[in-house]
Amino acid sequence: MSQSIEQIQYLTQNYSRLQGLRAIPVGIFVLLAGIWANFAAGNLGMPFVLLLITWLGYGLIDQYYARQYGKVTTLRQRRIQEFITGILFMVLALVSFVFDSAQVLAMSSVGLVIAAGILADFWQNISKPAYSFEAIISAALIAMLSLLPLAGWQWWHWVGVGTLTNGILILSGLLMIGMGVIGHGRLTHTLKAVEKASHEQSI
Amino acid sequence: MSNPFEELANLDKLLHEPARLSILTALAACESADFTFLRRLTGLSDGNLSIQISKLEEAGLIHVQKQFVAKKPSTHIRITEAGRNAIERYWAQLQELKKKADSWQKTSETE
Repeated sequence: MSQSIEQIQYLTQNYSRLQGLRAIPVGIFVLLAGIWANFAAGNLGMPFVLLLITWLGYGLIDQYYARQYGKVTTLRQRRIQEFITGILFMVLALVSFVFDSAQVLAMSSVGLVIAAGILADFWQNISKPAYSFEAIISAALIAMLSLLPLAGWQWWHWVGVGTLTNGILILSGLLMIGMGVIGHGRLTHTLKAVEKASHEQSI
Repeated sequence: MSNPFEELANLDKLLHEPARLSILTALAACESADFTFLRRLTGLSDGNLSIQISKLEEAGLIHVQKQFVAKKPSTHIRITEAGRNAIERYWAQLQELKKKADSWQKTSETE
């Protein structure tokens, strides 16, 4: 009984967060931005094209979720909290990007901000299930690779990337896509479990 | 002390039904939800879900708002203050019942 109720509360409270496919266009944008910065930085129109495609992709996925899974408006307090966190991390990401461009430190502050953002998103999940492992693994991996240059390990050269920031962007993009796919899988899995429990009248 | 089976009868019968309980639990955890979400959550058919929603609305536990978005019907449902109180009272009763059932079982085992 209590398990089904917890699943319903978890699903409802974290509904937009569980719509993992939303992370895919954003992940693809970050990945392609990293590749663009590494190989074709001369073409300044490309980031705007990528941004437009990301925006369109995000809108389409939003429509898909609304039609297939429905809409939930989260509690006002939670919406404000999410908005403030989003703005805070956006500002931090921009500042750290400028900081990294100036190459003040031999590490990636953008990477650390992305890792912190993933963790903040994880902690905001109410009644988070134990199997939200991918957020912690991704954050740890990005943070570790951001700090590795301090030990003299220039890992981005091993994979043919020119700079640490580009390497972090490419890695973050790939991880966002992966987390998105897992998140969507979790949404469908939890929905099926709740639906099954309702049918079996086990609530 | 009354035994837990007698107290089962005091539970709110409107809420003591899996689909309606799922609907109210979900609505208590958000500001509002649409018909599609509740259908996915409960696994009910459109007709059956409409019936359950109507029962909850008639009891004043939820508020249903029907509108048209891009010429398509869109139904948004939110829990009322009475609904929130009812679901909280129900869970408190159920927790109390569980405690009593546990102690009742222990007492009957020792006798």
